[in-house]
Amino acid sequence: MVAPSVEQAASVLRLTFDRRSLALICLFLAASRSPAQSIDPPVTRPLDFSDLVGAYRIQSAANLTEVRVEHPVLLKVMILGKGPEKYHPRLEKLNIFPTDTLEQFFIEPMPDLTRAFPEKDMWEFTFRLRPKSTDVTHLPGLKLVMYNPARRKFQPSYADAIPLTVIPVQDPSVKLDLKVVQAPDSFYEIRPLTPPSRWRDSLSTAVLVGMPIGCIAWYLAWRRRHPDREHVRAHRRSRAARTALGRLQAATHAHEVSAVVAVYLRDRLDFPAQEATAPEVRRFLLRWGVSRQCAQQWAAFLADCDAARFEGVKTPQSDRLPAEAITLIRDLEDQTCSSA
Amino acid sequence: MLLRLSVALFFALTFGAIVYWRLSPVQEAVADPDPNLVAAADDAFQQGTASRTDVAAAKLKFAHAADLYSQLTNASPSPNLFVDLGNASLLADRLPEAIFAYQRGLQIAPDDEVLRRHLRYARVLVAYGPSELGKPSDDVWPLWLPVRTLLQWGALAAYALSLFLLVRTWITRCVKPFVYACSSAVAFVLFASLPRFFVDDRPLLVIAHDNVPLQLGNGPSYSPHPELPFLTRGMEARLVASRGDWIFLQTATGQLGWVPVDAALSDSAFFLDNKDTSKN
Repeated sequence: MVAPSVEQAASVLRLTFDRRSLALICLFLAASRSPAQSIDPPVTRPLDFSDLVGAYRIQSAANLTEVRVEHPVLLKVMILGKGPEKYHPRLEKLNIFPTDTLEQFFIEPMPDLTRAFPEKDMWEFTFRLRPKSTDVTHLPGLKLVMYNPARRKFQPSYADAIPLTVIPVQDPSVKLDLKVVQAPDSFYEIRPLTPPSRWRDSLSTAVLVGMPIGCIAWYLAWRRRHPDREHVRAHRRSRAARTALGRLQAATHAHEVSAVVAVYLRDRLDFPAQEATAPEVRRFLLRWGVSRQCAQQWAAFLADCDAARFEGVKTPQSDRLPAEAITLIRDLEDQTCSSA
Repeated sequence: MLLRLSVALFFALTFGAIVYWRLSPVQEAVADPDPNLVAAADDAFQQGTASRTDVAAAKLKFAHAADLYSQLTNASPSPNLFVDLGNASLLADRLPEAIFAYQRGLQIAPDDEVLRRHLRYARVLVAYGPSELGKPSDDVWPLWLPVRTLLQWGALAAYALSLFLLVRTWITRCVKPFVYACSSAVAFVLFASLPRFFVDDRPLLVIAHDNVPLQLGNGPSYSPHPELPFLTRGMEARLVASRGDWIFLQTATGQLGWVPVDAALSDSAFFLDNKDTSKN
């Protein structure tokens, strides 16, 4: 029998359906075709799904067939097959043991012994199993649940249970005539029970609390014992003041006093003029931030000096000029120090 | 200006001292231990020592001594009692309790040489895996060097010197003592804050059993930790959080995971509450 050609089939369709119906049939067929197949498994997954996509099979082998209770036996699990790289077998995702296995075994994955050969389509995982009792007769059968994107469904692969003989542990009451030393000798010594020493804490508290109080008390006591040391301290800071005060002790004439004061102002405050006149000094001191009263006193003092120098008259006031200069220098030191 | 700065430094130092005092682990006054209980514990310990060639019998005696020392340390904690408790626990093959006792003793006396040496020994007995995940870093300081105590003394000395120099500044009004006072204040801050780097404030946990699964969630159905699926007895960790009957912990090498609350020893409030509720 000869198969009908495409032209014959098309002519039959054209005869059966009109043009509009044919267009609808084509649209329906196009829509019903499966979209680009996704490799991701659906959201609803079996509980024992191992996050594996592709076509795989599982095999298992044990290194021992007889083991004591709670002694280890290594179960090697091989997974063979292909699948997208995103869903290759991984130790942390494997869910291959039946749910009742934990009642019979202690299970410990061995990440160090995991080996992967993706180019050979093989993965090898190792688990250390310790049987809990002599009732155990088999290493558990394994079930690997994967998602097959071609069939769009979850499929299992099984590995058979492996017979295992579990024998009791060695009788612990067997005594060996050996002197067993479990720890160094210092562990066998009882430490004498002494009351806890809290002197360190007490000393810390005393220092932390007592020091600020002590310092304030020390400063206040120093202030009380040395009420005028404030001036001395301030004067010590100024070499110019010390020199001027020393020279004023020996000065007798007004021109000497005036010269000492001018040198002091130049050295201490960088007074620019050679001669210290009353208005200039007043303005200068005010610019320095000295109080108005002090500046006035300085101006009056310099005016007295000028009077004594240029009029040549020796008055009782001229005898007091050195002492007055000393007082003014101390006042000025105080003000400049406190403002510094 | 100098005066104002020095007064400001004075108040800053005083404030720093208050903070330091509040944060320092000042040992609280404890009641004297019950002499009868002490005698009973010591007697049990000595009986265990006398029968040390018979391992099984010695273990029972040491276990009894450990129970008595545990009662004593709960009532009146002291470093010496924690040493005895740790020794008795270790000899009774209760490694987690021993490590926990040494650690609690070190919280009170961080520089105790015996506690540090015995803790080092006990840590060697913990069966860490070949990768040594979960193993705390070694105590690198020599046993004879009381680092934390020296730092504490250094902080106090720097604090006192700084205040002394501040008063000298007020008296002389010179800059030099003020500069030295500032340097001493910086030294005080350094000495006071350095010990904080040695101490992890989070409550200590010691894993009580072997093969405790470390899981990624607070339930048995969660996946095991990919790097450290099981914890062994004696492993030390820190409590991060808790939920229900599960605790979230961080091992000494940084792995985070959940274990059941009864799988670890701790003296944190959460554990004590949990014990109380379980008793009720």
